[in-house]
Amino acid sequence: MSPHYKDPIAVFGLVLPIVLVLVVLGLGMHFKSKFETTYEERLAKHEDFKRVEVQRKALAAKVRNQEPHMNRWMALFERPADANVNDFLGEFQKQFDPTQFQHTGFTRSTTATGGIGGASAQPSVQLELGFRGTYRALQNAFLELETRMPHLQLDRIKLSVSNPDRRLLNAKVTYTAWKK
Amino acid sequence: MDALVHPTQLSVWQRYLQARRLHKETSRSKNADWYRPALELDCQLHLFVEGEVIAQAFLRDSKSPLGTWTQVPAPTLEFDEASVNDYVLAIRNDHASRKVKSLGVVLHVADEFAISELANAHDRPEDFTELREALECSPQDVLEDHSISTDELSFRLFPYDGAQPGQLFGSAITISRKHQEFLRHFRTAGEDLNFPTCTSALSAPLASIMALPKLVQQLPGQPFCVFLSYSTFSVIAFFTADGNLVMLRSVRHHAGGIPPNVGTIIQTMAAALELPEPVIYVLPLGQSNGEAVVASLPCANPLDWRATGEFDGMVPLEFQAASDPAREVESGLGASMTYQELNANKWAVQDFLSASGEESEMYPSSTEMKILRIGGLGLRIGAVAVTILLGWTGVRAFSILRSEAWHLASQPPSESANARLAKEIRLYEHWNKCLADRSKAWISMELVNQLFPNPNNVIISDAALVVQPEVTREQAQASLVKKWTVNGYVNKEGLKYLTAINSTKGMSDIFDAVALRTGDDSLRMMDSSRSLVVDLVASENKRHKKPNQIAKPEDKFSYIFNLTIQQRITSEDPLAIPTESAP
Repeated sequence: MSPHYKDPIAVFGLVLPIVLVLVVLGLGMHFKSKFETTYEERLAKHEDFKRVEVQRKALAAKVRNQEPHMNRWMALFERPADANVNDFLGEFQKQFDPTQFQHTGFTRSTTATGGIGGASAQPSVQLELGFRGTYRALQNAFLELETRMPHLQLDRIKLSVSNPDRRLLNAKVTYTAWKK
Repeated sequence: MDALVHPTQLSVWQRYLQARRLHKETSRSKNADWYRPALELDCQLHLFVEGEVIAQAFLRDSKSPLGTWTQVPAPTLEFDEASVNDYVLAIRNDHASRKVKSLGVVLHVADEFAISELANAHDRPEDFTELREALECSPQDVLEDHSISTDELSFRLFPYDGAQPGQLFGSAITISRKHQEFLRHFRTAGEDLNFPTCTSALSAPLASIMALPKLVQQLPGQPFCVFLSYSTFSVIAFFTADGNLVMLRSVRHHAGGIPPNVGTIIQTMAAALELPEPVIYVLPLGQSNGEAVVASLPCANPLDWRATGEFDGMVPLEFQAASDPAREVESGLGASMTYQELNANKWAVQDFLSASGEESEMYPSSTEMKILRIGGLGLRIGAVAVTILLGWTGVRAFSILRSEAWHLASQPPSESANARLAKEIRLYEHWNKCLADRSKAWISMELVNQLFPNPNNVIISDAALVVQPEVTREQAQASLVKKWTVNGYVNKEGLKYLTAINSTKGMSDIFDAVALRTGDDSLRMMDSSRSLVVDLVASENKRHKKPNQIAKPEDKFSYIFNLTIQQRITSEDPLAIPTESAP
């Protein structure tokens, strides 16, 4: 048989097609893999984005729910606590006869060395208040004061029977007032 | 198909293109019969040439329903390409079975036979391969007569296995190339019809020698010779007593037929070969006059091949001997070394008029055609694979490019916004902890009030609450202790009640009841982060007086008491004090 066809057929008929197919397949696989990798990266980023978005929406909803409370609390800090307390007690006293409720003393210490405020790095002041009044008037005063001003934390209270009018109680109260 | 160009005149790329053309336009890569010898094909056309004409033509088609051998119209040696083309077409369509996929044309040359002597014919080589090839390609190098023309004559080696040392080990059987063109027309017709047509030119006397084991089944026990007679010549084959061939000799017939002194010639040759008094067998073949042949050798034993029953009497003996391997026998003459060699190396059925080198080189080999086919198949599979890959990738790319992730991936995650929101939430949580209802004055008053449900049994002289934080290092929250101290006077029933609540359980029930009543969680005692310690100290009231001597209200109570309640809230409790400032 002919010796002249061996090399052309081996090269062009077998080796070249195999190489060509392998190269095309290889390139195809390479670019496909690269494309897939890019997509995987983008997909991961997108998943992150969606996850963060979900978190953001949840956080935003939570913040929206908390906003009225925060606004109310922050409003408490716009004026010094002692001024607020004095304003409140001034108003409260007007509702009672002096024989039933009296604001007998007030002291403000600028640093809270003891009490609840002393345990925290959050700034605070201590307020010492003195009252004389009936049990019911005192309890109402404290109820209203502590409800309106939740930033007051009771450090101590001492109640004793007043003399000579034993119907009345003397109350000495110390509050920690949180500052912003 | 357009004419082929010899590959030596083509560039490498053009050779490949020509091979591709053969692959696409012919069945060479699919039909292996293109590359098989004519005698190995299922359908064989045997032509018997004697007296310058084709005397007999038989078709042997193993798949034909008509039987093994079918007589067909004989072509003439003067046929041109077109006539041969028509003839092959007619044979294929009219005589062969429908499933025939190739044709082997076997020309039995019975109108000439010559023997040329080899140079150094007395030195038997170990291997005949080189000598065989040399005799086919460059016979002048190995023949005694260096002046022979390879353009006109064709030579094939025929060994004598019965030759003794000093005798000729073989001869070059010679026939002319006058039928070369006739056979080429058949091969060309095959190319034109895309129908594998392979040719072979056999020497009829050599083919008939293959039939002798069936005709001389019992060795005579002494040397013998067989006189094979054709119309224009005869061949004498000398055998030893063992049945091994010693020599072939040809005798040319003259106008009157067999020479009258042929008996003397045989005896002289036998004596020269040291085969005394050989038994002579006479085998008339072809168109020779059998009676005249037998008459010329009156002491010889005639062999009637038609009467043996081993062969079809209508079909020339050479056709059957050459084509049917079943003719091989393993006993008698067939068991001799000569016939084992003839069967193994096919010395008797050599093709004297094979295609020229230039003609053979025109076509790729069978292996190369298979490579082309496999390569083409591989290329198609590869193309399909590439198409599938591209299609799959395209669909995938289309899907990806349409996806939200691909287009929105450039947007950075809003981590900073989340951090800002988280900070706001942390700020809220900080203030929520700072402003928690952990200690209230009005709650404490209510607790003291609830401690003594019956005011007739008690007078409280004073009550106090002190809240004391406990700061531990590296803790985000500080625990706290709330300590109530209540002093007063009680009567017997009041003391009994105080003694009853002077326990953790008793005091916890009161705390829980007050928590439930006021909604203040700081008094709730069900959490493990809270604990309660109660201590009651009671003693006799030394100012206790009889009812008629009572000056002050406390004079009527028999006992004084000091009640201490200590509630501990640990740093794990939600009401623990945050130690850090606002974020």
